[in-house]
Amino acid sequence: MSTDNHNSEPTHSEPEVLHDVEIGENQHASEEHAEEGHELTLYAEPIVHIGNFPVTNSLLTSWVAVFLIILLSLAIRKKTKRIPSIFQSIIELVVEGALNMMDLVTNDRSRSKKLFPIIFAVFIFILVNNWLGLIPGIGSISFNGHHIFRGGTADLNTTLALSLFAVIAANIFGVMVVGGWNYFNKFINIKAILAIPKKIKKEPTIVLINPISFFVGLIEVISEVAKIASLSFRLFGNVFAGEVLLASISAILAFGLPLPFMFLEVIVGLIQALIFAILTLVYFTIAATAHDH
Amino acid sequence: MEILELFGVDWRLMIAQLVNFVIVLLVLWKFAIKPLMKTMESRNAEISKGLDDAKAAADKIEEVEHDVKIKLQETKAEAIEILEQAKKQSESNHQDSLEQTKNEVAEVVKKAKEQIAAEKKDLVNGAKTEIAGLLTKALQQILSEGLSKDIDQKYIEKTLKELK
Repeated sequence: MSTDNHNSEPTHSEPEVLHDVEIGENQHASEEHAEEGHELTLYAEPIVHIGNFPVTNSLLTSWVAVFLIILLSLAIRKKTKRIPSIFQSIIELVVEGALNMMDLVTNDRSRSKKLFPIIFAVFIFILVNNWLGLIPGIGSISFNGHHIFRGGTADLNTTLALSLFAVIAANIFGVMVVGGWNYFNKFINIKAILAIPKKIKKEPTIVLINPISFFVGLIEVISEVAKIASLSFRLFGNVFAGEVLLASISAILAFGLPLPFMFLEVIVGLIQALIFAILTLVYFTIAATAHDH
Repeated sequence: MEILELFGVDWRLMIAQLVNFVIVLLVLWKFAIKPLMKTMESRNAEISKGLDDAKAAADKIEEVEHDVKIKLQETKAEAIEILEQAKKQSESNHQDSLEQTKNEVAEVVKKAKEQIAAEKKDLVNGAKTEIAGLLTKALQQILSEGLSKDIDQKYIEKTLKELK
């Protein structure tokens, strides 16, 4: 491990302890080699600073993704007709398939329809970001010694923001569906404590059971945090690992050899987007179920 | 939180990415999903309505056919009845007129017979008186010449009595 030239930039505020992941040829060979895409940092590199705000390569790619999705949305809006074109038919097929898949989780068509925009947006945003990072050569466009583009989801900031959104939105949805008091009692189970004096004569075991329920509720709080961590690190890890894999394979032999891995990463990108979206839906559904015992 | 620093986590970048995602969410929702869903739903409704309508139309056709059949049967039965009635009527009319004619004929015959009988009687009566007159005359002529007056008278009376 060695600190490389990226960290020495004056405006860059990343601490010195940041480690780079080096792949392929050894770093000491030359500085130029490092900029040719064989080397990836664990964090997204800032390209330019607008005021104090660092515009990283991942953020740039995300903007491209947003732009592409806006184009897609506009195309869908323009093409949507009563009698569908082939384009619209394909979109409708996707939508219908997504709704059917969501029904497997929610068991409720109307709820699937209600959550569909959020889940579908999560899916599309992650999918486009994943795939944008895979476009050959996207990592090799450099500016000022930095790669300009890096998969949006290959940055923990993106995945963390998405998982925070997913978990917080799921909690809000839970409050909306079960009501504030019921939802609060899922975590801090005051109801269970209050129920003890009422039912103690009928079933004395409640003295043991309800305190346990109370602590289970506290564990739920931790599990919410764990959800954020698992969602964000799973996506980041998979996408970043894919980029590292592709970079190292390219370093071995850049012609033909990365191709099967490329296909693999395309599938991984799809699957990870799907997993993220489905887990988000699962969290929404869990949050929406009343947990009264 | 060293691990977050290791991964280059920066709340400003997170917010930027969150903004990105929210833009995607809103745009996708407003421009793509909403109109698409609306179209799909309205088309589904239309299709199901069309199918319902088609079924209703088929039912209606069946019903109408059934009605027509029943009406046709009814009409047939009625026609047959009317025909039979007409036959009966015409038969009875025929009988009536036949009888009437018969009666008339019988009456005419009877009248004719009566007339004939009356005429015959008159004729016979007339002939009788005439013959009687003629006989009396003839006998008077004959007897006035030869036989006695007594016998004559007796004979004439006797003859007349016999004649009567």
